[in-house]
Amino acid sequence: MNMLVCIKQVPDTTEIRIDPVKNTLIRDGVPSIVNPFDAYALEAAARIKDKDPSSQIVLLSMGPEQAKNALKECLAVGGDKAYLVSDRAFGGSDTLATSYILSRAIKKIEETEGKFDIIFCGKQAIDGDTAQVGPEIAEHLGYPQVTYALEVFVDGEKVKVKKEIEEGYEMIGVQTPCVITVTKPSFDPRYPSVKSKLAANRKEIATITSEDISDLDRSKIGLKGSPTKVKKTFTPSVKSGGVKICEDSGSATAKKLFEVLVADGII
Amino acid sequence: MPFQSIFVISEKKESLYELCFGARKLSDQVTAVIFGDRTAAENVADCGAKCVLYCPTESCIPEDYCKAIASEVKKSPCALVLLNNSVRSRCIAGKLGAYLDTAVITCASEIVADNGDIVCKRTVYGGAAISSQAFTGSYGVITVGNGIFGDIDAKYPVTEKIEQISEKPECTVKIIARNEKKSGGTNLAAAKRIVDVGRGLASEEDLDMCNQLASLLDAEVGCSRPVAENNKWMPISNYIGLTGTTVKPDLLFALGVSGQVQHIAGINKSKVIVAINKDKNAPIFKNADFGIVGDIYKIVPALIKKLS
Repeated sequence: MNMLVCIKQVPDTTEIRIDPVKNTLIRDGVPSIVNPFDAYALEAAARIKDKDPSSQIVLLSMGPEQAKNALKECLAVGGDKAYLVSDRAFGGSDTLATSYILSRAIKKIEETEGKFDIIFCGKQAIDGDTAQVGPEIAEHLGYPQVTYALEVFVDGEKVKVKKEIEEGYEMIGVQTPCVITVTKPSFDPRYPSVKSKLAANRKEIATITSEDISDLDRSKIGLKGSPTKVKKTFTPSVKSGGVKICEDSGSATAKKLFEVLVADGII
Repeated sequence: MPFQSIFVISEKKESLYELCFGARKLSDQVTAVIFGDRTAAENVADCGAKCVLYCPTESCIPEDYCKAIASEVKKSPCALVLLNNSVRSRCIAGKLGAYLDTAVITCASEIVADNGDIVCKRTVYGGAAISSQAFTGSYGVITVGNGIFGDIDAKYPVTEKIEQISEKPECTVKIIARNEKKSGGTNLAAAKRIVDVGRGLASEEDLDMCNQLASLLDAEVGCSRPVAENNKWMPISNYIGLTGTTVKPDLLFALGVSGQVQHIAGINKSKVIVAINKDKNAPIFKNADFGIVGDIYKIVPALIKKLS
């Protein structure tokens, strides 16, 4: 299998804090991480490669130069090669523009790496939470897609995907080439070894700019190619603190709580 | 950009009515797209839409109709497409976005018309901030959480215009098997009382205690995302939060819920929040009306005794 995994470098959203005075987001000092769902997608690809070592895993990210750090991390846990799509002209792209750029970049990379059988994405990035770039890449390429994959099984040319749905899961059969977006599986992604980290650090990461993609429609990229505009970003309001109940024992606390709820007509 | 017509797409009846109700607040030209046969379409003829389009799904899945739906939408010079936040809807939304050459605004928590613009609010950075966004092109696709339009307080006439979608589906994937998990069937969005279980629960067996409390309170049981997604103790449909269900009960009991922003985004429309957590610094207490610092394993059994 020739596989491509899309990787996004994101701010660790659990570390984002709100400035209590200015009521704005504090982004300084927030560490950058590999989007967790993309790490699961890479693990799904790595598991396919474990069974069929002739497989190749190519990584692709779009972002500034520093996104190479995320790609290096991924090279240490299963990626064979990595490409970074980076250009000022791409700045301000929303999901539609981003998926268009990535789909054109994938075509460009295929000139060197051969046609990909499976294109993996995380089901969504934790900073934007849109879950749209994967499905849109599939449509730009005209490929079938399966979203919210828990596990991917390859048997020859056939691909089977265990897909999470609200009520449980479905087993889906899909032809290659296809796009698969991955949600949190029941297993953890593998850890890098010292050796694999060193090897990853030595690998060259090729940068693809807008100049490198010959058939790029410039009206579809960056801010200009984005059919949504952000009006403003602000912090949500919180409820003001309520009543605290803390008696000496569990049963006394329960009794007090019960009384308060009854007194207030809540139960 | 003002949108003349709105297409509402839903595979679930309740959500169809809710979305149509919301759509009617923005436009009179509402078309409902449902998955099923003519009878299914006739059953929802009073949803508020001018026209109900049905997509038969005996031999394919709803996703296969995206191109066909996009063709219908393109018959309007400018239109908005409205869907719910389900796994399937989000996939359909992405495909439609590509066909309509527009972006998708997911998990909108508010949609308002503002000087001819349709402005959507959605939370970003895992709930730490809210962003308001608008479409700049002729088409827009929006997915919304349940309950954002408020209670349905309008009745609409039954529409006579019921048609099968004109284009054929494009079947690209095949369902080999389907496995439904225990429970499910809970309607958290409409629940008046909810017991909300967090990671403070030590083992799956302890859910019994929570279920017992819930049955005494006549409440539904929901949970935080890790309980469903990591521990797999409850179906995904039971998790409350930014990317899960948004709830608005009269009473919510948060048991061992720490109160991460993503979870708070799903519960902060509750009238009364009672939080029990042994960590006095847990962020849930900032959002709780009644905060109890203590051990759920001591307090919940005592409360059950009191309520029985």
